Amino acid sequence: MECSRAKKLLSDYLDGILDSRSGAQLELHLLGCTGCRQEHDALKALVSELNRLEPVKSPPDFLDQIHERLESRSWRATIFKTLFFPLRIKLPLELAAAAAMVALIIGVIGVQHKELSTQKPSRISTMRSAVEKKQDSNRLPRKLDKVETTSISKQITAYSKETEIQPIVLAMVVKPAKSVRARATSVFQQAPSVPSPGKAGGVADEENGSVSHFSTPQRASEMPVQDPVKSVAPEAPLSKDNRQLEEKSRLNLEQTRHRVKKLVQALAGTVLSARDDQLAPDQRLMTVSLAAGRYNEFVEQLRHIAPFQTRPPAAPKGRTPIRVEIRFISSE
Amino acid sequence: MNTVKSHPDRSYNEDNDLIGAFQVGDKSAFDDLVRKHQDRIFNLCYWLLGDYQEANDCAQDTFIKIFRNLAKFRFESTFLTWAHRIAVNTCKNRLKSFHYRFSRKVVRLDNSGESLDSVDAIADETGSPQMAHEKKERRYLIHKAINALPAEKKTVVVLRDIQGLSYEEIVKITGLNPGTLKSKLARARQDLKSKLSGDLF
Repeated sequence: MECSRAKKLLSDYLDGILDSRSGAQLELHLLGCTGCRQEHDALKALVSELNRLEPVKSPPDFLDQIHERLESRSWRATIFKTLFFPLRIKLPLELAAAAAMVALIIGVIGVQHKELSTQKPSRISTMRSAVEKKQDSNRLPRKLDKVETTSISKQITAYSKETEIQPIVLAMVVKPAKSVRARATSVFQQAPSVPSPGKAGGVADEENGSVSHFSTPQRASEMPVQDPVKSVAPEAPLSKDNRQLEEKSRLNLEQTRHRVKKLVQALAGTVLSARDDQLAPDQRLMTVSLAAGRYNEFVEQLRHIAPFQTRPPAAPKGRTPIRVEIRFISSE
Repeated sequence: MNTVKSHPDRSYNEDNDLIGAFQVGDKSAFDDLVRKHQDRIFNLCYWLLGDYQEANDCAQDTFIKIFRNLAKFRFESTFLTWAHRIAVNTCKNRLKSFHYRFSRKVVRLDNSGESLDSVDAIADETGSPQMAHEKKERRYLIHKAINALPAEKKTVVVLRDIQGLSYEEIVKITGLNPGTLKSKLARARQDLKSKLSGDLF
């Protein structure tokens, strides 16, 4: 028998489960082989040492601990059964944790997706503002190189075609204030020299719509008796004047807007929106939609209503309806 | 908290009698079964897991499973074989569990393995203090060598050489065929011998 085979059989031999023939062969080999005999002795010593190892004892309250756990488990099991048994749901913690993770990941991805989709329009708006800047630069320096201007306007029209949102901005000057103030003061001062005070009131009515305190004849006739400087200069009449002027300005704005509206209708356009004139003067806007072909006509007609602050932009090409934004700027 | 009191008139001691009594409603028979076998099952769990507290948990789990299934016991094997099988499977699952692996990692970080003190739980009543120390040290080395074995080899060598079970019983417990069992046991013993060689032999 070879040593390798003998070593393989040693374990079975020690346990007495080797068949008699193999056992006899191994015993014969062990008699002649010191190495295998040493191996046998070492293995035998190991097995007997393991057999003699003192057993590790359980803690003294082992049984009590089992009882405690059995009792605590019994009520937990009842709760679990009442909760999940009717639905036959098995809910291992790992599965619940995995489900929670999946939900979290989906949520995060969803939020990111939303953010990305909201970022897109903002990029467009930055592009738009860049184009607006170009438009401004086109408008302000009056004498630009022709080629450059046309190329910029081409870009603008191309962009406005692309987005179809960009309106043409027209700034109109509404200037009733100075003239009204002059008229108002002159009326105020001329009033006593005019024999019929009713006429003065009539003028005021014609010009301004309603100026109630001018229409009082007695008060007007009393004016020359008083110091004229006092009557014009004091704070109270001045503040009255201011209010009056604001009122006139507002009325004139309304008139202007009304006329613009009429014009738009005449050119088969539509008024899209008109901002409330209670807002700050620079926010008074009117947005209209108009056929591109009638833009030049529209601008020409607007000139008759009120002057432009800056030169109106060139007419866009094409026949698509365009948006024109009119800003009413107070001349003050 | 022992709520189930032992029956005073009961004279049967054999496992099968106790199981029979349990099956007809005498729940205190279970306590007797636990008392009779708790140390053996505990010892098995200790050597399979290599940790006293883990062994305590798993041995308790084993008896709780026995309590739940004792009513269905069909006497096809001995109670001890059956209890061993449940204990081996419980320990195997514990070794695979995340909790066990995690706690082992933490212990290793703190302690880098088992310490000599961890074998203090074993009572030593014989010999001089010098001998006791040597015995303790030797036991620690064996503990370390067995723990280093792969799970299956560890199981067969513990069942055979520490628990002293027969080949037939081990076959029933592990489900291995006898040939595989023999070769696994031979290799496990060889591994242990070479790990412990130089220390005693």
